[in-house]
Amino acid sequence: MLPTKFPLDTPAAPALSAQRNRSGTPAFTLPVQHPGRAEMPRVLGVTTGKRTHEFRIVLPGSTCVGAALRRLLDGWRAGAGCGRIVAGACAQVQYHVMMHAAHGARPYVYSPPIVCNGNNTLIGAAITLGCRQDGTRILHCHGGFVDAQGRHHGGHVILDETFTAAAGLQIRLCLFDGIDLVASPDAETTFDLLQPV
Amino acid sequence: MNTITFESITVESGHYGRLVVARLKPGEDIVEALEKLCLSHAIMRAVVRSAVGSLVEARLTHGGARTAHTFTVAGPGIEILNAYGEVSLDAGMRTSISGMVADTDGRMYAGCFVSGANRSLITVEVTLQEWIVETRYQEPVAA
Repeated sequence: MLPTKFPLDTPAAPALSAQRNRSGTPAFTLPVQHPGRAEMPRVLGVTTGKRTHEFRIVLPGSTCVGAALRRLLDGWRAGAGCGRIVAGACAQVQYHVMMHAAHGARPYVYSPPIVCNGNNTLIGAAITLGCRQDGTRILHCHGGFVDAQGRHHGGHVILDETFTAAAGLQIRLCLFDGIDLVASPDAETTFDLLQPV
Repeated sequence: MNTITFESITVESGHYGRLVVARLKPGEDIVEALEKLCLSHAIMRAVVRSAVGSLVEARLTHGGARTAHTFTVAGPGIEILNAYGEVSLDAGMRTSISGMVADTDGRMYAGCFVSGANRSLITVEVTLQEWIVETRYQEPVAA
């Protein structure tokens, strides 16, 4: 079993933690400058009193996770939702991590895909379900796996390129009624981002 | 002489209420934003159903008051892999959000998010559900 290692705080960390930026947030790292102007409000929230629809899904081995979820969600005519991948393993996981952009307006972009083949044990993952303005479904998933050699793999998981191992995957989804998550261009970051409506 | 303290078990029964779906823009701290969100909707208690997003860096803690270990996962570009916990604006209770994050090498870390030190990098999508308490009572701890 691999020992648990924690990152060491730099000697400057306590001093930096005492600093405060303009919003009162302790500043450990310099603020990131996005290409666009920051608009208020900084937190967008929508609420509904309608009941959620809860599902537990068990995917068998050798299943493309993205394709299977899309098929189920299309059949249910589901809109927005959220969920967690709660147990199982994948024979292939494809994911991205964030990296500093070498060029362009965006300070950070996604890395080229990292592909892990073999038995990748799920540690945990969360999913946001939304759609583009043309109705195309978006499965925004972040998750963590440990591969057969014990190495960590955590990041933005591409479910359409992720396949279950023989053990399958167990997924819990919570579908919303009365709230949608629609991807639209975000002027501040220049990414297409899911917004609650 | 050792003093033995008998504490009681607190039991709440209730039901889930309103759902709050939110997006945190860059620079917003995840714990502070969830508390503000609940306050703005007059929600006193809520459970985190899901969170997906990225942080400038992560500041996590674990352990008790005397053994607390707090550490920084250096970013920018830390991915929130999952988050759990409760938001509480009730007197005598506190918000506690824990979770897993991954750094830019894909290494995973876990702990409780330190309030004020986990700022959104690009976006954080979060879903909360109100917890409405109907009854609360104390049960003695079984001997």
